[in-house]
Parts: sequence; structure tokens; C-alpha cells
Amino acid sequence: MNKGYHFVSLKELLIISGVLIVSAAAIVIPELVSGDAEIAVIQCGDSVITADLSQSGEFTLEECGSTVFEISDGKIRIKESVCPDKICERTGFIGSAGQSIICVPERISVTVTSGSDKSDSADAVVG
Amino acid sequence: MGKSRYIAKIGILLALASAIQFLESMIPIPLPLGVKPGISSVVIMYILMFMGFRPALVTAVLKSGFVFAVRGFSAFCMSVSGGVLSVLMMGLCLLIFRRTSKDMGILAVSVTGGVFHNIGQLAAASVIAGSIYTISYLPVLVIAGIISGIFTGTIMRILLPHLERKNVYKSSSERS
Repeated sequence: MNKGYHFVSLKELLIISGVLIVSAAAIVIPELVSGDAEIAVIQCGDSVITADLSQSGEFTLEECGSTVFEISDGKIRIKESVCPDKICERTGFIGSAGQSIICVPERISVTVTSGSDKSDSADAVVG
Repeated sequence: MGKSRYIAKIGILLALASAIQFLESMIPIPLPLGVKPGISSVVIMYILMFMGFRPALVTAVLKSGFVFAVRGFSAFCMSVSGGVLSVLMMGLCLLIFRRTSKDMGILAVSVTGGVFHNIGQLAAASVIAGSIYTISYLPVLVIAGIISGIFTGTIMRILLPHLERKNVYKSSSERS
């Protein structure tokens, strides 16, 4: 008698592998294509602030509450956040164009771009 | 199965799913984006397979209610969006298996659930954070969803024969 189920068929395995490969390509290719980012666009709620990644140091922004940002070596991270889950802190430093850090509870997003092709950065990410 | 028995069963399963999720959230996993294995989705998958689509959807939403109580509104939005989309797509997946009159592929269902759970969460995060750049997380989250789906699907595969032995499958097929 038929069990009514199976674990995985070859066809299903191929579809899953296909999605896996496309996703991996969508991660790797933009990293290779896009160069180092030059500016960080920080969005806190409704206000948007731009930061220069060539200037290292720590700073807080009035609009972003007590969130501490740190720029070092052309990269930026959220050093301290009041959010409960600390996912944004764990994301760490980002520095290649198109990457971003999101803090959902605090409604903060940091996106780094190469400045010159700012409008293209979203496309570069989608790849 | 009588109605009160049915409700009691859903309640127990809901408690089980919430407890698993809570325990999981207490284990710090050093992965970015708060990626989790999502073992509680095994419970949701069980409900979907053995009791039907509606109770699975109800349990997923109620489980998010538990998230709201413990972690607040934005976590609730992400949980409900991920949970509902996940159940919808797993239900669709099961429906396709039924329509094509083939037996269901456990891994296909669990991977679908894992991937769309993450997509739903990402969609909610994008709306809450008000940023479209969250889309750059999509490939990572799809891969994380696949891995988590393989994990939960494997657990489901191990559990299924034992669940069947207790005649759960038979009693559910009478319902649907």
C-alpha cells in the first residue's frame, strides 16, 4: 500500500537546488561586481542622513535615538542599539556597495553605496 | 474526533509550538539577521498535514499572538506575516501534490514553508523599517529558509511513521 508520502523526489531536489544556486549567485555576483562603498545612507524613521565612509569614528544621530554608529576603514556598523534582539549589531561592518543593515524595532536602515551610481544601487543588489 | 477534543488538541499543539519557539529564541545562535532553525514549524506542518489548512492557519496566527505578548508589536508583525505566508504556501504545495494525485513530498513542503516564512518576515521588515533596501537580504534569507526547511523536513520524516502508528493519519483523513 502507498504510504501517502515520500521524503524527496529527484524533481523536487532539482527545483530546490536550482533556487539554492540562483540565491547563491545573487549573493556572490553583486559582491564581485560592486566596488567599495563611499557613502552610507542612514534612514531613521522618516529622516535620511548621509555619512561619508572615509571619515572614521563613532557617532550618534539625533534622529536615531541613542543608536551608536561606527565608521572604520571605509565600513560602517551599528555599534550599539537599544533594540531588544540586537540583530543589527550582529550584522557587523558593511562596506561593499549595496549592502545594508536593518534594525526593524527602531525603524533604522543603513545602506552603503558608491556615491556615483546611487540610483543604481538597488538594481545592483537584485543582480 | 469530537469538537471539544479537536479544540483541546489544537490548544496542546499551539502550546507546544509556542514553547519550542520560545526555547529556540533563548539559544543564542551566532548568525546574522536572527536566523533560526524554526523547529516549531514542524508542529504547524503536522497540523496542516493531519488536521487541515484552517487549523494550521489559526495556530500560526495564535502563535504570533504569543510572540506579541513576549516580544512586542514589530516582532508580532514579522511573525504573523512569515507564519501566514508560510502556511498559505505549504497549503498550496500540499494541494498541488493532491491534485496531481501523487503522494506528498515532505521536503518540498517544509522547504516551501521555510523559504516563504523568511520572505514574509522580510516583507514585514521592509514595511516597518520603511526601506526597500531590505531586499538585499532576500538571497541570504532564501538560502536560510531552504536549510531550515531541510532541517524541519528531516524531523518530520523521522516523526511521521510514529505519528501514523498512532492512527492519527486515519482519523484526519476522515475529517477532510
